[in-house]
Amino acid sequence: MRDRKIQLNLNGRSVSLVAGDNTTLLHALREYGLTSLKRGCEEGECGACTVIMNGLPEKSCLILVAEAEGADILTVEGLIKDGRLHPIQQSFIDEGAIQCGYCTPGMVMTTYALLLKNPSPDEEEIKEALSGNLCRCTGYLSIVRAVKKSARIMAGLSEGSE
Amino acid sequence: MKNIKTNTGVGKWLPRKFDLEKAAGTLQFADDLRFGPELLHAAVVRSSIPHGEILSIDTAQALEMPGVVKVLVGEDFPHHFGLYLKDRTPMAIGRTRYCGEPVALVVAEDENTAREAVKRVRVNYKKLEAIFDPVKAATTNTVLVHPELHKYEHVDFITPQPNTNIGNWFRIRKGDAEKAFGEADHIFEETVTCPQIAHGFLETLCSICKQDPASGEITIWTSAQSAFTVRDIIAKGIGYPLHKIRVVAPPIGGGFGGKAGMTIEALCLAAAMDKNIAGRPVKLFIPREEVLLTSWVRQGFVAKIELAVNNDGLIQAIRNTFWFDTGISAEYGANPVRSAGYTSMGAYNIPNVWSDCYAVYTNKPFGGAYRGFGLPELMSALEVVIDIAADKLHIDPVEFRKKNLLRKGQTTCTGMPMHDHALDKIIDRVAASLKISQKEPPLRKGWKRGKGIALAIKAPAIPADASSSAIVKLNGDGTVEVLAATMDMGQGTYSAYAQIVSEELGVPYDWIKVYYPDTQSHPYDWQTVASRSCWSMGMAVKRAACDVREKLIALFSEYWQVSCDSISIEYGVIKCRKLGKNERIDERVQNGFKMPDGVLKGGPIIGTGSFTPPDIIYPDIDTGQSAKSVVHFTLGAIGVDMEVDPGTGKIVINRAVAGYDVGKAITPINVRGQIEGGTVQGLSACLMEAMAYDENGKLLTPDFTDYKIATFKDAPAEIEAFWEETPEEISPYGNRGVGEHSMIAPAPATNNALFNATGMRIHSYPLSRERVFKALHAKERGETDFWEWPYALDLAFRKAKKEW
Amino acid sequence: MVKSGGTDLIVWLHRSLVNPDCVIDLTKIEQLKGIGLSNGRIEIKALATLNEVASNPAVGEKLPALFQACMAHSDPLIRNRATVVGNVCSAVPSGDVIAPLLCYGAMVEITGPSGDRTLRIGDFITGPKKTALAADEIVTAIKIALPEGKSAGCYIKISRREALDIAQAAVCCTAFESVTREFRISFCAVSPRPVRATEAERLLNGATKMDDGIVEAAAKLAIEAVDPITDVRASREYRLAMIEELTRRAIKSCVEKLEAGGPS
Repeated sequence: MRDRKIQLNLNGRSVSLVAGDNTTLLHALREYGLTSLKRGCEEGECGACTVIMNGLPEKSCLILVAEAEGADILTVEGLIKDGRLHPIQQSFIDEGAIQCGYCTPGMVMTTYALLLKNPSPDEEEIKEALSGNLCRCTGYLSIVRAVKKSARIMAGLSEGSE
Repeated sequence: MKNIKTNTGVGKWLPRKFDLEKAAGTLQFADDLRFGPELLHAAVVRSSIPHGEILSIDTAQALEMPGVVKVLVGEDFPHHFGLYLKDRTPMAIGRTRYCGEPVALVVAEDENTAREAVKRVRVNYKKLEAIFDPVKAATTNTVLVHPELHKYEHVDFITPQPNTNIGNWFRIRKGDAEKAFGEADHIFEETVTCPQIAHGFLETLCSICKQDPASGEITIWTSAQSAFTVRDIIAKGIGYPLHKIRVVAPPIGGGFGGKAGMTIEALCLAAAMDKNIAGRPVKLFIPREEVLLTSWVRQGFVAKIELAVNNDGLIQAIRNTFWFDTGISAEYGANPVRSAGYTSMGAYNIPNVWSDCYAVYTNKPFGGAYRGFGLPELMSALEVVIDIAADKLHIDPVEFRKKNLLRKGQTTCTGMPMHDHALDKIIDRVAASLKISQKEPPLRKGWKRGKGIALAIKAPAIPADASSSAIVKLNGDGTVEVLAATMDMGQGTYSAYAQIVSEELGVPYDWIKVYYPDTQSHPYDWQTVASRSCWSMGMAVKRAACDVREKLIALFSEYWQVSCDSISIEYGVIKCRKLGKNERIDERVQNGFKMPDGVLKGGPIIGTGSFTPPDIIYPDIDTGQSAKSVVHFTLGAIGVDMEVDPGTGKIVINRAVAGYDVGKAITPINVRGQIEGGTVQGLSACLMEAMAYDENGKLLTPDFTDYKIATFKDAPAEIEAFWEETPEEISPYGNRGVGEHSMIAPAPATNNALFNATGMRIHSYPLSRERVFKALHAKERGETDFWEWPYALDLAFRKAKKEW
Repeated sequence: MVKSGGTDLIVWLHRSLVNPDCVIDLTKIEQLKGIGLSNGRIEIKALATLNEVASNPAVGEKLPALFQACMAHSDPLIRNRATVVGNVCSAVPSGDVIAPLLCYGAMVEITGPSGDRTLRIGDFITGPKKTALAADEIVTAIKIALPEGKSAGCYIKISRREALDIAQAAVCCTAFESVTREFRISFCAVSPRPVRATEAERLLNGATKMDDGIVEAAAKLAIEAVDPITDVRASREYRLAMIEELTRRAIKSCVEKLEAGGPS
């Protein structure tokens, strides 16, 4: 195994990091300092390490860091703009969709990707899109409410900006 | 007298503390803390056999690896630890007792090296016969898991039985059960089993330990629910003074009891205290696939319940035998047994009770605390037995429950009078909302639909003297800091404390900060368990906040030369209407007030509050009787509307309605969150969760690939969560705990609904698709009851059953 | 070892189930990306993910069983990485896409130093986690001739929960209508290598009228084609019972769709 230098576009900034060939993107980003990605299972079974890579939500524990060379990576750290939470983050707070918070960054990122693709998902679409992200605390219903609320707010925002 | 105004006090819906950081991803959990290049990493070598003597451990190959610093074995850290019973060593010494037990610990410069080196440690064993079945373990003594049981220290209120596999035997002897059974019109005898299950918190376990080589002082950063109890257990285990151990508990990613007591801290400490390592921090991160081998699991459960009922539908007596499968350690598992024991009448008024509750050692991972603490298992059995009795007596199950309800003044099985509660009202609302006695057509073609109800009851299962204390500090700008060593693991207690402080002190919620526990700064609290925090610590926080208010007002009273009761605190402003005074809280609260007599008085204002339950009496060892065995009970009910696909055995929950008498909802957002979350966790346990082993005791469900918990698509479409508020007497605001209770009865309610839908009773949880399918197949053959023993491979279990 | 999506390989590495000297990552090879359509054949290249395949209009329209199998696989996030070809090369008996590929007569395109070759998918997978691929070869694509005329297909899976789970058992059924009706049935997680229920197919294909009796008989015959194991996910008995039940449902579903006018 050898170390290599990886260049990627992380939350809008060009970043280079050094990591071993068999290192997962999850480990490399955590080592780099992005601890919002959690190692809940490291086998793709929980979703606590979800990132958006080149526009698609993915589980960073199932990606080797070398594959991310040149990729656009968005994590929850990248959602805060000018010190303000993204409407998805705010909706999760407002709806009581957060308890322990360990799944939250992953949930928020999967929601972000969903709303990018489908700005007004129905309940079944929300559940399908988030079905790879586990939460043991909330029972999920409050998260569904939060996603719906995010969609409404974001629809309002984009109308406003037009 | 309190004279304050706030709009962010008790009972308000407010955003929760730390949700901002959680949403932003900036909150740091134990694994997220950084310790620099000095940090060492530990990884665990685990037993490959369920029971055997350790003949040798060859560490040479591991030590040859570059980066490996040390390999420790059990003898290197020969201390016994335990909350109620010291039966556990961090690593096996001489004898391994379950497949997966730590037998050695590799310490290396990085985590990968540690994990690689683990594979190079060779352990030779002499295999011994193992025992996996709790009933067989309890009824035969062919294999003793702890031959040294008589030597272990334990607290007075548990009763291990030396030379057996019984780690605790709790008894209830109320009235004359034998006579009542002899005279009863109807007797029902049923057996129900629950498997061991896992907490499934998303954050696994992680500890970092460091010892100062000069002073010997120890610091532990750990994913623990109870910083002070970790400190206590470790201090007692290694014989250390408390002030030389500092436990820092960063936020934890879910607990559910799985991070209560002490889990991996002593194992990590074994490395940090090694004389060649001391001074360097050592991190032990437990990967998902090792969590169930390293931490508590919910105990397996086998219940035999006999019910004596008269023609008038009144229950006369209950006779219980509960076998809790506590695995290789009863250090914590001794107590859920007690908890189930002193609630073994359920939510019913039963004059004659005979219960034998056993914590049984087996060669499996260790059982301990899990949300509900013995009650989900017990109610999964008892609430089904109640349903069976109602059905066989041709009484409506709701009516049967209400007829026998344990009402105010009637006594529990320990002889303690029940306090006031609104359970009958809750039952009525659940029944009405679900139209429970009305048969409705299934929503899916070819499926069968049913509805069921089950009751929940639970008291905090705490030592009689479990205490809490809090400090509330008033800052020089009117903001407030609260030191309360409760772990907010998602249940939202810090929001409750902030609302309590706002209620008592009249300052806005946003001005109040609550810190995660650190034994160095925080005053003592026993544990964040037992749904006790809003109640016990809530009392301490309330008293501390009152203390601040009184001190503050006393100062202003002298400063303004008015009586205390003419001063109010309104939205963070100190007022005296009589004088027309209106002042902000400023640095005077820190640096003192120049009083009219010219003397500077005051100085930093600190409020303190302590609480210990005043009147708990441990149940008598022989009879379990106590006039006040517990502080209070929270009662509730859940109804489930479900349907089942007979072709596959798949169950879908259409709707659940759940209500609890919480006394007072301090933070409604959290009460709703606890009810919704606990309901889904309970349904998940009911429908899919079980730890499974092969015939050699090897866990087949170590990770999320095969230990399945509910996803978004498994949750019910709707949960109607509600609560009643019948105030509790000894309580900060009349409130009682609700964190665990929502987990207690979803399983039996679903099971009763399945019977309602199909006419089939399943006596073994979970109601997995395969099991339901098999049961409905058995129904076609004319059978009415179905069970699969949890340990089907152990045929002796069936024989043991006949010996009951 | 060679990896495409890596969603199996990285888990195997994490669990030390494999210990390769090196891993060759294909994901940067542009020629292996995408889904092609020409001359009535669809070409699913080695790096086409499950989500890409599922969202391809030709798959949705002409290969509904493959579409459903892709959607039944893991979860929406993993499907952004896991590939159809990778699922085939992993050759685990519970690989969701294998059964529909078998029903649709998929051909596996292989390349290596000794040239290109093409294998039927049934010949490509030789056992659990075993394929006919030589150590120096890779699969470049899977090709499927799109059904002409009316057809129907479905993939029905039973697992322990509703999402992100490995099949306890699954049944794929396709029906193609030209001069005669041709049914094909295959399975997931119930045999060491992919099999078709040839006896059941023969019965269905020879039937003049599709009544409940025929469906029942075919479902019973389906059981004869499989040989499941008992493991922690399900017992052999349950898997057999599910094969019968799901076969029944799958056939009925195809018949209904054909009669309602499936894709033409």
